[in-house]
Amino acid sequence: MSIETFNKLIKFLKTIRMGWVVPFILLAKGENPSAQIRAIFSGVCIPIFAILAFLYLWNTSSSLIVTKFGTVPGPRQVLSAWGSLRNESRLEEIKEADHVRRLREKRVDYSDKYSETLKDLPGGAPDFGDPAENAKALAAAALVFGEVNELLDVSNKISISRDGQSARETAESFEFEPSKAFASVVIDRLLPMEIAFRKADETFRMSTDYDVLKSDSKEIAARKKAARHAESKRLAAEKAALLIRRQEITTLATRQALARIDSVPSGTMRVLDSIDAASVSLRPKLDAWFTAIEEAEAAGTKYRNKTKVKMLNKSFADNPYPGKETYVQQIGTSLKTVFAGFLIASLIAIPLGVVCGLNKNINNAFNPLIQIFKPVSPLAWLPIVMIVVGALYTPDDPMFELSFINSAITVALCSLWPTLVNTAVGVASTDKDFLNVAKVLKLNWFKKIFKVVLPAALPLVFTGLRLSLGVGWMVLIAAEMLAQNPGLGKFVWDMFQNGSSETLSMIMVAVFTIGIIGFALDTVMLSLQQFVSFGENEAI
Amino acid sequence: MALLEIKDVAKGYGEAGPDRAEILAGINLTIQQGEFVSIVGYSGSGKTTLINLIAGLIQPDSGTVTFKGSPVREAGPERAVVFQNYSLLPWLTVFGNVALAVDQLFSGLNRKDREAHVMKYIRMVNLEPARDKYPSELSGGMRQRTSLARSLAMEPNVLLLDEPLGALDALTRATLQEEIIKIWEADRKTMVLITNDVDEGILMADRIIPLSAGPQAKLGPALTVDIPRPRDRKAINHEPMFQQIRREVIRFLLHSHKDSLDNASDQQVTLPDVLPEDLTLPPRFWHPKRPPLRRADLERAAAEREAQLKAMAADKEEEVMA
Amino acid sequence: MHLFDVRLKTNTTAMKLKTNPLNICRPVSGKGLALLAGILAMTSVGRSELLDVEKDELTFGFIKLTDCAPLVIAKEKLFFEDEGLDVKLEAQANWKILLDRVISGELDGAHMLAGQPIGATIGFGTKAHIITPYSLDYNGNGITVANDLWKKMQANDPALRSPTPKHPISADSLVPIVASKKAAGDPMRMGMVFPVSTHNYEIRYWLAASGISPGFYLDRKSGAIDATGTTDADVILSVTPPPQMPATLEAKTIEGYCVGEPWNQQAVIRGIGVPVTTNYDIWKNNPEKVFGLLKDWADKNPKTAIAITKALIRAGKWLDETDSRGRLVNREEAARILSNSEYVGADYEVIRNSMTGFFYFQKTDKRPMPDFNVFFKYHASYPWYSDCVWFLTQMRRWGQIPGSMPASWYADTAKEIYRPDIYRKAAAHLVEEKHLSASEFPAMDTDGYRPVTSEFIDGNTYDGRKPIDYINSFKLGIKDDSRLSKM
Repeated sequence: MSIETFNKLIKFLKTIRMGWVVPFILLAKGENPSAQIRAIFSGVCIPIFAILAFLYLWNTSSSLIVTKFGTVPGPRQVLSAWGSLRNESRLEEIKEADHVRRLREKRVDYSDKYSETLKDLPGGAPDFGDPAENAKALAAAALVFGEVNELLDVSNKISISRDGQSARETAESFEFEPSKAFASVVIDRLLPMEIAFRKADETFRMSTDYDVLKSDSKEIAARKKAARHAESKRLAAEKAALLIRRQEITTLATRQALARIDSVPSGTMRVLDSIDAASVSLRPKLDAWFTAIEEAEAAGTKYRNKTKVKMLNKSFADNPYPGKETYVQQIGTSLKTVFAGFLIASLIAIPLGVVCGLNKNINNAFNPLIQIFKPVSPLAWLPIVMIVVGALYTPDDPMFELSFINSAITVALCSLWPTLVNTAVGVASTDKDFLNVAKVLKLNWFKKIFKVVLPAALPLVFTGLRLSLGVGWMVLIAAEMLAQNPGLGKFVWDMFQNGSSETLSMIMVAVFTIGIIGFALDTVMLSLQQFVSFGENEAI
Repeated sequence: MALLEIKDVAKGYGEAGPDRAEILAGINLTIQQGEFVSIVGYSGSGKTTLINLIAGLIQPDSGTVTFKGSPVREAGPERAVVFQNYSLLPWLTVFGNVALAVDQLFSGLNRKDREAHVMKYIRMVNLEPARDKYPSELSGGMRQRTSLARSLAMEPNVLLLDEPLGALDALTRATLQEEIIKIWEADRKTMVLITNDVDEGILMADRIIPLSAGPQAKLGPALTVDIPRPRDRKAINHEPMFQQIRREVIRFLLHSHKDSLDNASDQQVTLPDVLPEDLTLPPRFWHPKRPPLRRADLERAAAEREAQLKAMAADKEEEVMA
Repeated sequence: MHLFDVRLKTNTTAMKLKTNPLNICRPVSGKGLALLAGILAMTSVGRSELLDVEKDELTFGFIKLTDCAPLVIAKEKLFFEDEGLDVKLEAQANWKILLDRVISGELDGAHMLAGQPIGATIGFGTKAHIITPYSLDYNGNGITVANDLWKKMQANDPALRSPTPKHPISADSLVPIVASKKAAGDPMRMGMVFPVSTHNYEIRYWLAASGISPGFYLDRKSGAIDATGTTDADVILSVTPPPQMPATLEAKTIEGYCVGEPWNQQAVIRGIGVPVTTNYDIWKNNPEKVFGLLKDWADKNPKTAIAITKALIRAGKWLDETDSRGRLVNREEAARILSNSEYVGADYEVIRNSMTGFFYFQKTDKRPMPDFNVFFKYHASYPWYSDCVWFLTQMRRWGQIPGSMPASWYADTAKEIYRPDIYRKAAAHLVEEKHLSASEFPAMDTDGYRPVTSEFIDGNTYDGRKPIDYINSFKLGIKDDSRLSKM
């Protein structure tokens, strides 16, 4: 690697906020080790130390704050909440796979049921291959999913049992061996704890002894209080142990279930795939057929199998799986929304900013409006946007959800201003010498704007864009909360509404996600900004 | 017919009243085809204003600037300017900067020819190895060469050099002087050099004209530099003619300076104490006009700072004493 | 330290995973091996011809309350899918947003307060014609008073001075307290959920049964409309979102409230209040939530509406399934499903407490309440005209309906909003498909009115066919000209 490329690499690392890696590289090259070690200490060790200190403080102080949702969760609880979110999304995967299987089953079932009708299909009936093979493959898949679902249901079914006896009865009603084996694990390891805890909790709650009555003397009251405290601690410990065990077991079940699904023999998978392929190729034919029938009916011919064809056609439709949004999907929605809003904002702000920057009078005309609207919060914009957009955007088959548009426009309205102001300033402050060059060259207006003014203003425009994106990401959460756009904002709101023991840790997961993504977006914009800033003025 | 003729030109800035600053007054100048004229004057005497007038970037308040017999109404590539601070577009490479001019002015040529045209001038200023570098990666001298290449590539009738070497170190400056002279000698393009360095003016030009100190700066008598070329920068110092021209120019400049000071004291006219506006600062919303920067304020601030430093030094001394 | 803190602390200490994201599907068919016999055999059993639905991708809204259960169960137990519907359930921020989004078409249908379709259709609040083909549940609310107020009530009525006082508890012991507070110029304040919510009418009924005026939406003398409903009020009622009720009570902003679960139990657990009565005591088997659809939507998608109703009926039946000893067998599983974060999302224990048939009136007073949440039993899912009329009479009684209306208007309005015709069609399909038997539905010859009942806390008799007489039968409330009853 030549020195030049090496220097470029270093510079690049610095622009993408990876400057802290540089001393390590230089140290590896043996360049001035003591200076590198000092740089590592100040650039890496100190931040890590600060983070660790923060985690330590958080960990120790969190348990001291008691809210109506319990104590504030510490870092470990937040981490495990993240884990459970991941677990949920894996389970959602299983659900979706199962949905696909049922869909496939339905298709074969329907083409079987309407095989008579299908004989009339122009171009012939679909080729699903050997029907016996199909049936076997579908049955095998269904069997696997039956096993999987039962397996995943074991711990629920068992852990609500009143006693060991009824649990064993429940276990006997299971159909499949894996779940029976698994049930015994749950009965041995989980159920006793579950029952014990339920009992203790019940007694604790029912016991009148623990009520501190006014008639008690101070001493008695204090004693009861102490007893209650001890009791609550014991219960807390019991519950913690129970839940940890329960999570272990659920995870175990999920893992087994996933492994079971993966173990579907490849022969079966091939048949299933061929059924899918056949059904995909059949869809357009069925569509065309149904359209032809409708046209014929409109022209006066009666077609006796119309409904059958329609139902058949429907069973071949590819509706998306209507499951819940996983956390990652919610993050995706948020990103999509913020970028849509950001795009709208940029499309308005940059041209308007250029116009304002070029003409003082226009600038003076817009300036008061800009100053007035700039500080308005998204919470004020959103109701207006909702009402206006709700009135204007009423297509029959909307391409975008209303809530998505509402949030995106709100984001746009709030993030418009930094780009607008910065573009105007950038354009207005174009170096006079550059303009002189343009004059000497007799560049026409368009060329002057695109070859001189805009490039010269680009660093400031990008500063504005970076600020805009930051603002947009911040207001997005509030906008989504109110507009019910299914992104991170709605996640936070839903979790808040759940009011469960997990509420706070889930919200904290969201807080960290929002922070980290915001940081990443800012880094990307910063890199872009430095890329266009002619390598002169380093942005911060 | 003279290529360029300036007649009774006056130029001032600002609104009528105490803020008005008359920069140039009664300027008369004629430049012939192929001539190398240098104009020497104090910093701030209005040299750049003069060149902007010739270029057509600004219009005179009174009098006329005629180029090839017709009045100058706007800037144009036939009067290329090499700006004092290079004015390179920082987002374009050396090649790009030159190509910007070439693409605009020689749009009739095909792509290949245009590229060849660009390269010809880049080679002329010895910048071929740096053709893909950005201005920020270049030294001052290289930047000015790029600017020079860009102006030359316009193939202008007149090349207006506005203190092109002012910001360069002595060594680079000398090299560039040589190169400019070489280029001029090669095709005898008309050149107007503005400089505050009398030696430079004499060394390079056919004719040297001093510009008196402002306000209302006027051109002094033109002095023909009749020293044969090529001129040797070391030997020329001993040339009697060089010494004489130099003396005269300096005398004129000193005298004009004294004059203007005398005038000022005689007429009791206080100069507008306003510094030129810093155009690189972004315009502000709401109050588009900044309050004027006043020299007196700066001086007062400097004096205060000095006093403060002195006081601090005194404190230190006292401490040491204690 | 409150008991409540203990519980929640224990919860947060734990690495918690909702133990049931797992209700993936029911076994595909009865017996696994039977599958091998072939697809045709499998699928031709339970299913008959599917309805040719007009729209198969649907989004329904719900509020995070346990009584959205039929919707959730219909989805999770695949009853919707059996009808060929791909349903997405979306939690909504509040009742207003939910209604707005149904009207704007973003939601195809939603879990609604029984009063919402009625209020919207007659134009109290946002105007839109909304119908209901399915009633989601009966009962499920309670009235809770603050500890201080409870002590004062006990002081007034010796019968209440017991750890397990006799129920139902009326507001009689509250009368002197209310009067003295009103005389002092600081009338008592209580909370309810929404102006057209059942909670509003229930707390009004309870107070008025003891002669306490909860305020009118109409000045009976001048005819001026009062959107806050506090004209001539002895007790001022204010709207408070359910989750904020306990906190507002604790802050002494209100001294009592009427709300659904788990917010009454929450007051007990936190030791800040005492539930004095459930709405089961105010009116046995009173309608609570319904499934609401825009009328235009249902007209455009008639078969889809039937398919939805079919799935909901099956879900309701599943929820009320009992074993031979009459125990609700599916409620714990339902509580597990509802505790998933995308549905109600509260802790399983909290939901289970409210769904499995017990109610804590005080820490020491746990009573069985088998009918606290009724989804299907007693024909709870059938959209009875009489239920609609009852809400209309209450709206008239308190002035939300400003003008006098003839009796026929009540019947006609009920027919516009409550749509047993859709329900009947769905039921017929289900009977034909042998999912349910005809005996599980109201008799075919019913006129859509529930039997005349006087199972109210004040013993008043309600006959939905005689709305004007009913309105006039109350001591407290707006009276109408009795001639209207014949019109």
